[in-house]
Amino acid sequence: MFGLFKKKHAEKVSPVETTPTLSTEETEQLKVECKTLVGQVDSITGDDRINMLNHIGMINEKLDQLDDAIAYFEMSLKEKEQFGDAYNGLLRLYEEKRKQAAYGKDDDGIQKWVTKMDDLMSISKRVLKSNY
Amino acid sequence: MAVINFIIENILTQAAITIALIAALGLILQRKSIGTVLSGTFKTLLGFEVLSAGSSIITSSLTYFGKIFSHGFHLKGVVPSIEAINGQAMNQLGLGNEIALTFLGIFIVNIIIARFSPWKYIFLTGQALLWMATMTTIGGHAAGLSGFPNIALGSVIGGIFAVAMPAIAQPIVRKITGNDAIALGHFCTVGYMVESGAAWLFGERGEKKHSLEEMKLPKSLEFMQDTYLSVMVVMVPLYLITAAFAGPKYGAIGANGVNYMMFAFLQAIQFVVGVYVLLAGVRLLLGEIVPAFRGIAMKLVPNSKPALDCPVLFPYSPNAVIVGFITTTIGTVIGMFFFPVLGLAVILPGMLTNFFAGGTAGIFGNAVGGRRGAIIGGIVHGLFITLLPALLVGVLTHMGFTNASATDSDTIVSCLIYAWFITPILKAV
Repeated sequence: MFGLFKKKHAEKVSPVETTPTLSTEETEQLKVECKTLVGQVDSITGDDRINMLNHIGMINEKLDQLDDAIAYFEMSLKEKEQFGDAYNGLLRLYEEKRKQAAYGKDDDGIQKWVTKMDDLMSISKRVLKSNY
Repeated sequence: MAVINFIIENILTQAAITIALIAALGLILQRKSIGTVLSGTFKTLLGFEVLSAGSSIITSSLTYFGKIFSHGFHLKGVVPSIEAINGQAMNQLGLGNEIALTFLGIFIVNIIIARFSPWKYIFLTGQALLWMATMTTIGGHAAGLSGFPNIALGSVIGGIFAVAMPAIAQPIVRKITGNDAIALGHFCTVGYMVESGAAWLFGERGEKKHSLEEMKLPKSLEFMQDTYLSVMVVMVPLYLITAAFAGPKYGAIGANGVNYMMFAFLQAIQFVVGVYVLLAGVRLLLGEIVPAFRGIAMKLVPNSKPALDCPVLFPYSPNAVIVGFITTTIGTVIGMFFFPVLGLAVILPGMLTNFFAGGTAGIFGNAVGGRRGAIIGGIVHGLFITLLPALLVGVLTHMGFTNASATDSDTIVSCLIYAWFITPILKAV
């Protein structure tokens, strides 16, 4: 009726936004880089470690390994609450995961990712106020 | 029949029960366990009672302030506080039931619009939705509506605002964030667009456009680190100066022998305590309802675009937040002196709004018109958010509100739509 139900079926199968496709060579290169950085990151401290954690997060995001990307970005933000790559990356990825949970009708998943977005809002307020 | 009548007249007319039942409905629809449903329902009930307690504290402090202000300056001084308006509407004016049901209705209309239209925004800032429900209910009452027609109209208007405001802001939000993944869900968007318009008119363009983020700002706003401390920093001098002008005769009304300046100081603190308690109540009240209903919304509209609270934009332009706060505050202070000249009430600057709405408006101004745009736009924004509550004072005073007016420009605009358009239409019909 009125084509509404057809649209509904079409929407169900519509995929969640994905990152641009990488060539096999690029993928392999990034995997090697990621492995190297993961091996080094525990021996580094301070801002260099934060930058490296963010970099590993970004590589994982490019490789479409969203859970790993989230883990590294979260580690970075936990060690140093600041605005930048980790915060922006997490906002993007939580929304991506929230969408996946919504398409999968996964209630707990939706709550989990929306709550994490709420936590990011609190971090945002905290970081801003602590800067001034 | 007597039992049904008893339930309708004594239980369902209680706003606390209505809102608790809404929470229960949300949790049951989410198929939560009986234990979770019960605890969520009672937490919501408790939240409403805490909100009521906060409201009483604020009202008593504002009543005192209203008296000393009118004796001290022979003018009507109004504190812009959406919390105070919500508290008074829910409790003293007995609109709690309608506000609770309108709140639910706005959620439903938002989901329907997002599901069946190209605008996929789901408004996730629960507190802002409560303020919108409050203002549409107040507007409806002022227009002579009550019961189901008021709830239905408020739900439709609020639901349209919940989708339209993120949609209107989105072109600039995209420019700020560099992507289209999230939207802004904060009912101050009309103000942000006013700031953007001013920034576009008076700001920098092209190669001459310099972002505020290229500047280094001094770290001298420590008092802003605590929300309640920032309210206190404004309210204490405000009460003390007003009491000094009112003198000991009026400043000591209800002081029971305490020095009138000391009493004014304590009343200012009472105001802050009231805001603290009321917001704790709101958090408790919405803590169960919002997660339940946003879960339902996300499932029904999986491709939705979440409209999040204003701090979502802070990381993209932190300097602009501070400049926006300062320039908006300057605008509100100018407006406080200027608008009474035009015969409007004195609207005192509200620090919470200046920080969150002013800060976010600063981000918009900076994105559209660079440094100059953010500075001039911020002052215009400050004037605008002082003018709106001043225009609303007549409607609110007529209904019996005590020395307070609303904040959050979109909620005021929704109420003014009732006052300026819906009321004349209803009277003409």
